[in-house]
Amino acid sequence: MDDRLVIKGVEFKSRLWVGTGKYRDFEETARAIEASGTDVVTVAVRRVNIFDRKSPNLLDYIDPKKYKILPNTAGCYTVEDALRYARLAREAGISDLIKLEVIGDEKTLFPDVTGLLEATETLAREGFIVLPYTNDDPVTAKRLVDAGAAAVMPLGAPIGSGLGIRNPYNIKIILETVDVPVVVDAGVGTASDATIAMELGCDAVLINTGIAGAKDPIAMAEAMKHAVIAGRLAYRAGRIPKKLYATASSPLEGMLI
Amino acid sequence: MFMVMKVRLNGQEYETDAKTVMALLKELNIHPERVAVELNLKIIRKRDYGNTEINDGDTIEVVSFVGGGAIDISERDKAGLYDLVSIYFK
Repeated sequence: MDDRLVIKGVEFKSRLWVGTGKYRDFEETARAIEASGTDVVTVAVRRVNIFDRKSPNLLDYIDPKKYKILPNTAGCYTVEDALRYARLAREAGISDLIKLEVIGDEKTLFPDVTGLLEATETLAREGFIVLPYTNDDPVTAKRLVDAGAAAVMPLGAPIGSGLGIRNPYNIKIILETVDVPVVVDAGVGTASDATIAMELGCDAVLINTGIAGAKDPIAMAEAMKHAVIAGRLAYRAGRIPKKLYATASSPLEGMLI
Repeated sequence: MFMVMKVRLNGQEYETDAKTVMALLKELNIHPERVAVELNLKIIRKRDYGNTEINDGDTIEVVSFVGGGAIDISERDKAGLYDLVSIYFK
């Protein structure tokens, strides 16, 4: 069954994308990523610790030849910052992929939509493959695509909240509105949340805290792997319609009375 | 001629006699492949590391990839992000 996800010529084998923050150490990060079966990991861009060169580097544990490195602009609150981090990420890395975040509010980490649109347009013009983290608003999603986004990454719920897919109907409308891949980013708290996103028809799910924050991140990574595969298969298989009353699944013919 | 320059490197005062970005990275024992370098807010292309001069008073940022999906507020301080932001708007 050919079911590949391709974004602007970049092929993704896994529909589960994994963030690399909040783990206890790099060893645990590497093990969780391995268990998740992913081939895409998101990373942030930060200052090198120049005064402690002994401190380990993430890329010593995550082989960029084995995994696609998807840099993000996490923590950026202005267009200028997001552009700066994106450009630094491209120079530090090897691809044009950028998970664009322009955060509008500290408490909710909801995106700043106007800033996001502006940054998307600029980076797309500079040849980036822009994957903007956005809210679950279909109109914004459409505008982002018009601005040059290669995919849209609507939140299921606030980052790190674990509240799941709070508005599945909006996600569904986004899927019907845009003609680019839709990747749910943020909010996935447990396996069923990931499955719901995939059953809706999303192209992939990105999870960080949902895995890293679990009591056993390695086991949760594996659970998420199965959840995403199950959700995708169910979506492709086509679910039965929901009905209010029962429909017998066993034949009445041949019964004793 | 031996001359020590004072630069601001990743938000801290730093003294170096490295004349180019390449020499500075070598002095810091940093592999150029995995980093990006910004000199006075301008990103320096890897191919230009060898011929980009460092001058007294320069502001230099050397960044690389770290673990992160999205980081929460407490971790942001740890990562020195606010500091980087304040430098940018100085």
